[in-house]
Amino acid sequence: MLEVVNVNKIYGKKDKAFNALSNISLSFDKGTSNAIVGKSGSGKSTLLHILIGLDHPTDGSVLYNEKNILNDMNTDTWRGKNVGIVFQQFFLQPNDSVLDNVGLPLKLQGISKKIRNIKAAEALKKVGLEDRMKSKANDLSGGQKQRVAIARALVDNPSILIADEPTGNLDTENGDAIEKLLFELQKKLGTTLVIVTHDTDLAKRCERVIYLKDGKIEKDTKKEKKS
Amino acid sequence: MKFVDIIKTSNSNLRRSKLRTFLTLLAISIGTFTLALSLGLGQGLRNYISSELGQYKGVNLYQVEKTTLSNFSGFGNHDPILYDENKSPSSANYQNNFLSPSEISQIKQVKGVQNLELPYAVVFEYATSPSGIKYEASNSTFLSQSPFNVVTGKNLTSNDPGSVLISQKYLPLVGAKDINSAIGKILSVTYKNSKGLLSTMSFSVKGVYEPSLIQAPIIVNRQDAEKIAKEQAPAGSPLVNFVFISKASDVTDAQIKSNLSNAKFTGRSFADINNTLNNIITGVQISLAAFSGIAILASVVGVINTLFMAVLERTREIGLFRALGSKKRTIFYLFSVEAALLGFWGGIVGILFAFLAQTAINKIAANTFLKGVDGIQLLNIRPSLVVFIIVVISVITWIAGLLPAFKASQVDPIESLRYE
Repeated sequence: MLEVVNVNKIYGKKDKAFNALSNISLSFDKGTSNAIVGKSGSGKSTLLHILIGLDHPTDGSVLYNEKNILNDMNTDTWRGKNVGIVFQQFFLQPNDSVLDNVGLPLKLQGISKKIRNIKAAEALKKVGLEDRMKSKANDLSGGQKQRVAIARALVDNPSILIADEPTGNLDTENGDAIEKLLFELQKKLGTTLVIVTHDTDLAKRCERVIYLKDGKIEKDTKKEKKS
Repeated sequence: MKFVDIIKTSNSNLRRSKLRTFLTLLAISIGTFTLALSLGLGQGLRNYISSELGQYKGVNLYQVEKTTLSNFSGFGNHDPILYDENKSPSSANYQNNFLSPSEISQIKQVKGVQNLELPYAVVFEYATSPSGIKYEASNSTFLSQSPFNVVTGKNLTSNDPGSVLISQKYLPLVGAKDINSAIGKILSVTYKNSKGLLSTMSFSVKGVYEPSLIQAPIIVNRQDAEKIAKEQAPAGSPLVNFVFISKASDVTDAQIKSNLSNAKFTGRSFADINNTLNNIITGVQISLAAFSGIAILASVVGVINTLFMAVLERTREIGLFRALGSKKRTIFYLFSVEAALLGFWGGIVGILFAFLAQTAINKIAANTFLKGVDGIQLLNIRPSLVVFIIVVISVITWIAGLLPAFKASQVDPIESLRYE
């Protein structure tokens, strides 16, 4: 469904050239959970940005259903409709209501307020925050904020859910709860989940773990499916 | 993103930094305020002139004078001027600009001229009311083409000896309580002849007309005006320095002016006078608007600064929007519309203050230096002017916001998500 084909990313030129990613090829199957793990500077964030079309590879391509996301379609529209993103820092609009925060991706797509409120309410129900939809985002706890961010990522039923260090800003209890919620929703909705993390415990909960080191795939492990 | 959502989002973004927005709006509103007042002043004067001269619209009446009137050189602070036999001698007192009987006949013979009338300069010392009170009695001679809005009685004709028209405000001079009872009342005026002796003459009020700035309050019939003018002027001296004519229907406005010019006379219609006055007002208006322009320019710099600050403050938000699928042009619209909204709201505030100032200034003017002058509103900020100003200010601030908006749209989403 989502494929990375021979992707290289080089920053700088000539003597100062730095290979952030070297010849990366990956394929993410529909409905699977995947983790990209690596230390700081391993290239996992660069790979994430290239995966969602925010950054351009120096060579290679990213394909979605066999179409190049940079050349064959409007990348922004594709990302808006097919990719949900959960950030480590939540990135909520502090003075907007929870409902408005969750409906933001739909607003950017030009969907009417009535429909986006219905969809946002449904998404909030999925993350168990239907009773806080009128609260301001600023009034929520860290765990609740990340739940709102997950609801925002899932509001338009994306086929791909990207989570960038989703528990990095949370305490253990809240972190565990968010992890649990992410995997539950991924299974329930059949979304392709790609988690970028340096937390190996979180990564191991995924069906597949890709280890990056110095811009290269060090290891790519898949759990065997229980029969 | 829908345009209505862009407007709502941009508008709510203005409320994020309230003090900064307030100060920017204040600067814009000062510019708008001064612009509204200067344009409103011009409009007020224009309306007044138009209402006063409007009754002359389409009137076939030309004021004709010697072209040499412009040769006034009475001020002594100039170098000697060489004599030119083709030009009339210059004068310091306009005496040579009076029209002699032969010159008046010359005007009569200009092709296209018909119905020449002399505006006799008659001076009344005073008018005495039936109760014995003496009033000043400013007057002019009746001209057959001159329009009067007669509200009761009848207008004068070119042959109406013994009759006058009086303004609605001059009823006390004839002891009338209302306009209807004024008809037929006697207006008694006293004037000096050329030897300084006082004479009194009585007129019967034939009609009462609505007062107007450019009409004298007493209009004297032609026959008596001529008689008194002759008594008042030294023997043999000319009586007028301009005359009024009508043009024949088979000549155009340009042709009659050209014919008069060839005979070394200048003819001006009331439309010309109206245009001249309007041109003067336009000049004054442009000068005042230019000062407002400086205030607006200063506020534009404020808008640019405000928008650049907003781009910096909302860098992470721009990154988030881009990550969630927003196009670059949506970011551009959000910031440029925000700039236009600064102009819009600043314009509204400025206009509101201008309306308050208009009410106060018109009231003060009506009670002080414009007391007794009816029908004039010194400031007149019309609805179309309000729309014009708000649109112009919004467009100006929108243009001012283009550069910050472009910068916002070019923000690298990856960098902006890392931005602290």
